[in-house]
Amino acid sequence: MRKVKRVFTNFSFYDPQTIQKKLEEMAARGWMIRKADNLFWTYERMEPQKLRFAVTYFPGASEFDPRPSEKQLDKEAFCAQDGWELVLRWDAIQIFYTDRENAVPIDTDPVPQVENIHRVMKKKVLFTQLFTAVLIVLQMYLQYGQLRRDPADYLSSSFYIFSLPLGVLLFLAAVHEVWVCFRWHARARRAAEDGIFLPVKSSWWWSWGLVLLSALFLVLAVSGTSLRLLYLVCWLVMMGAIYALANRLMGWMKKKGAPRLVNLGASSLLIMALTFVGVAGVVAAALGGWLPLGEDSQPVGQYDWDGLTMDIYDDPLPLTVEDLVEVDARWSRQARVQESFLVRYGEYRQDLLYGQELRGYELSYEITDVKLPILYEFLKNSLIDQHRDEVHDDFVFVDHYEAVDPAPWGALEAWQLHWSDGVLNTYLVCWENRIVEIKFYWAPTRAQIQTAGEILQNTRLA
Amino acid sequence: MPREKFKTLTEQMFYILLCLRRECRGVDILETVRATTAGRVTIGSGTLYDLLDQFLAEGMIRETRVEGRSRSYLITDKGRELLGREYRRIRCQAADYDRVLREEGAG
Repeated sequence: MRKVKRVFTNFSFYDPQTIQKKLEEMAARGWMIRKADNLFWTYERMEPQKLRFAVTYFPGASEFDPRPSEKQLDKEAFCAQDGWELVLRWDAIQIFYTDRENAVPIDTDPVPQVENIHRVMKKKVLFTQLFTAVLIVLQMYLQYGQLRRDPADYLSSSFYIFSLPLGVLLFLAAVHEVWVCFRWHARARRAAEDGIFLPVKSSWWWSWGLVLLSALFLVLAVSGTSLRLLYLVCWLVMMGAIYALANRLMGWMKKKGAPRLVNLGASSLLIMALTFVGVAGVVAAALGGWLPLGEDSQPVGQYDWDGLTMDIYDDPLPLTVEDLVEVDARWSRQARVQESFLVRYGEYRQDLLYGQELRGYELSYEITDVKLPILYEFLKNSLIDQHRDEVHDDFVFVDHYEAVDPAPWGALEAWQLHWSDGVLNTYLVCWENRIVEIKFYWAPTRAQIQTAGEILQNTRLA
Repeated sequence: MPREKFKTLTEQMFYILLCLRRECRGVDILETVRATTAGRVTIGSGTLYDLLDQFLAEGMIRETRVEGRSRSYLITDKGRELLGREYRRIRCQAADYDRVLREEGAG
């Protein structure tokens, strides 16, 4: 029979009544609370007992304190003399229990009780939740930038698509927590005037719904990526290790009697340093090839050119240079395809290996299949809008698409890119659900355009 | 609107200050209040600590003796004034009650 049990705990830090009720239920089933942290609470086996618990708050306490302050010990001594035994200190929370059924509760006047909880809330919730909200807004702003820069890539990435609602959800959760705190304080102060303690209501469906929805979006975001499991595990292990090491350091410094601010500063610095080292390590491992990123194309060989080692790829391409011209040369063919429930997107390029006499017969193109028709115009216009003339000191830098005859492409619409040097062999071609942006490194003939159009229209992205 | 701090007193604040008209150890206040009110008012140990702390911070009471963790307190002039004001407020309430009932009886 196991003697220790760790239970995932998901109730509000500021809901003493729910915590008390839970601890009383656990004690009746033979489990006594021993340790608490943000995610898991640890219980030890004991004889089932009918105990009463009291959760009280000491605003001056912090989880970084090396030991309780004299004032905190004074308060605990008051409680002990009234028959309440301290079982746990955690941050600003103190948990007491008693086996006396008629014991006077520790908090009997809601006015100071509400003020204590509010002072703890201000210190913890405001900073933590507002900091979280700001980080999420920053992250979403970066994602918005990515959407504007490359909408097809963004909308075809399940990771981006599902991390967006995840971010919104976490943002709403942070804002909701702050709102709940302020609303509760205003109501609780009024109720306290009438001698009533208004508890902080933690909604079961809200907190568990939040956890489940967040987990769902996270799984959807991660499962839709081509990243290998090993890569994702590396990130998870890294974050877990940082959390564990920071906790160990905090505990060690507490034991050594380090002052609160020293402990807080050292723990923060350690987290920042480990995050930097961890991220740099994973990125270096990924770039160095020791940690395969995913199912993206892998090189099939290498060659040396001008002192550099170049990779050769041989991915299948829907359209190749050989489909359009009869030339004999060696190429590297690279493809990247990603797909979400909104968009399927393929990025392809065929590059001549360096050092050959043949020049110019190269291709690069992107195929976007729009699954949700409402996105079609947005994606098309975004691709057109990426090229806009710029005026600097009365000089116009030409960079725009102009409509051309779509007939040779067999398409609904076609545009050709105009640049300061003249017309480029870069086209934007639109079929019913498909948009292709293609760059020829040579000037294609009408027949070559017709062939390219037929292939690009009919190919199915793997 | 919630009241201004200590503009009026809760019952527990009132009885703590009343107890401290005589020097008293903190923990003894619990029993004294219970006895004074015949068990009608009970004060929790956490509430007692919090209120003593607030009264000290506001200069309503002062510490007179410290023996280990046992501390004794006594009301100050400022505390006396607050207690007196609260007493007069309660008297006014009682007087209003009596008057209204008398008027109803006469009518």
